[in-house]
Amino acid sequence: MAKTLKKGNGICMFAYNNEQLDYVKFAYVCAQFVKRNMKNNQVALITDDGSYGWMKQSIGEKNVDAVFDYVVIDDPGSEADRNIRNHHDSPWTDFNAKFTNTNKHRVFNNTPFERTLLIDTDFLVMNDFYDYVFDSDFEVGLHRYAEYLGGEIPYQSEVTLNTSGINHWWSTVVYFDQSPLSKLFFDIWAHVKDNWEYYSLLYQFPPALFRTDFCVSIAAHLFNGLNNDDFVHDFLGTPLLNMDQKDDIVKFNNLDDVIFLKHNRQEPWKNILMKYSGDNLHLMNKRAFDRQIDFIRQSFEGATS
Amino acid sequence: MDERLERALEFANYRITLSNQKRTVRQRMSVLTTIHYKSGVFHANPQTISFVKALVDSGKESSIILDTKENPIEIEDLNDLLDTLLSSYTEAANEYKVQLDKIKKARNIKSLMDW
Repeated sequence: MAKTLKKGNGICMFAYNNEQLDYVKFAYVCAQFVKRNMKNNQVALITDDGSYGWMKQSIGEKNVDAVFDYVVIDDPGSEADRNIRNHHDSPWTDFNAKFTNTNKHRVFNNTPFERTLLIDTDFLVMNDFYDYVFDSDFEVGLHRYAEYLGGEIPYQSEVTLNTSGINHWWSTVVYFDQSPLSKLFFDIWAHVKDNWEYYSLLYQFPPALFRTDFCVSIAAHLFNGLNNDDFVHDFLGTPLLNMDQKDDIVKFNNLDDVIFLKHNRQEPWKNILMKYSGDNLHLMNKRAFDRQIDFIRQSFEGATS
Repeated sequence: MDERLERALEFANYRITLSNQKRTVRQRMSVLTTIHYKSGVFHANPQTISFVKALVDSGKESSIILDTKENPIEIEDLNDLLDTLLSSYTEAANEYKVQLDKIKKARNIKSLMDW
C-alpha cells in the first residue's frame, strides 16, 4: 500500500484462503456483523491478490464493495507456507491447514486508520462493546482473559505460556493507535517472529506452530515492565468468549442468537446445548462457522431487503 | 431403558442446561455493568452507585475515586458519573430480568434454546 495519511477509526481483518478454509467468506460475514453492531464500523480487509480475486468472484464485487471500505493487498510471502495448523471439527474430526499469520504485525503499517481494532475473521462482533476504546487514550489493547462456552476456563497454555511462565494475551482482538509506543509494540512483535526459536527457548513454549498470541504475550510482558502492570489495556478485564474447536454450532436462531453444542472436555462424547445472545464470539471451530454462513448471509439479505 | 430413568435423565439434562443459561445471563449482566469512564474502569453496582451518591449528597461536585484496578481517577463531574452508573445498571438489570423471566418460563430444553 502506498504511504497515505491514516485517518479516523476502523476495523481491520486479515484473510488468506487455503485449500481447506475460505477465509474471505468468513471475513465478509464478520464485516457484516461489524457494520450492523458497531458505531465505528469502517472496515479494511488485508489480503492477497488470489484471495481477493476469489472473493469478488464468489461473493460479487458489488457485495464486497458494500462491506469493505478499504482493501489492502499484502502478500505474506513463502514463510507462511511452513506454518501448518491442526484444526478440529468436533472431538472426532481433525484436519491440517496452512495458518497464514506471519505478517499480522504489519497491520500497523497496513491499516488505513489512525485508531484500529484488528479482529480475526472467526470473531463475530455481536454488540457495540469495543466502541468505547476509540474514545479512550489507550495506545494498545488486548484481551488478557478468556473463557470457553459455559464459563469453562482456558487450557493451561492459554493462561500462561508455560506452567510457571508469563501471562498469555490474546491476539484475536487488538486495539492500537499510531503512537510511537504502539509502533514499538508491533516492532517487538516482529522481533519475536524473527527470533522465534530463541524466544520459544527463553519463554518455554512449543516452537512448532508460529502463534501471534505468544508474540503479543511477550510484547505485553515487556510493555508492562516485565511484570503484570497495566500499561497494555485489557478491555476492562472482559474475557474473550471462545467456542472450542471441538464444540459445534447447532444453529443461528437469528443474527443475535446462537445455539452451540458444547462438548465435555473430560468425557467428549457428552454434549450440552448452550445459547448466547448478543455476546461477542470467537468461533474457533472454522468448519462449524462455515456450515452456518449460508443462513447468516440469507439473514443479512433479509434484513436489508 | 426404563422409562422412568429416561425421563429423569431428560429432566437432569434440562436442569443442567437451565443452570448454564442462568450463569450465561449473569455473566452478560456483569459485562454490561462494567463501564469505562475518564480512563478508569468502574462496575455499575450498588456499592459504587451508593458511594458516588454519598459524595454528591455531601455536596461534592468533583472527587478522586479509585477504580476497579485501584487507579485514582479524577472525576470532574460526579453527577455525570452517577448518571452513567445508574443508566448502565438499570439497562443491564432490565435485560437481566427479561432474559431470566424467559428462562424461568421455559419448561424444556427446546424452549430454553428458543428453538
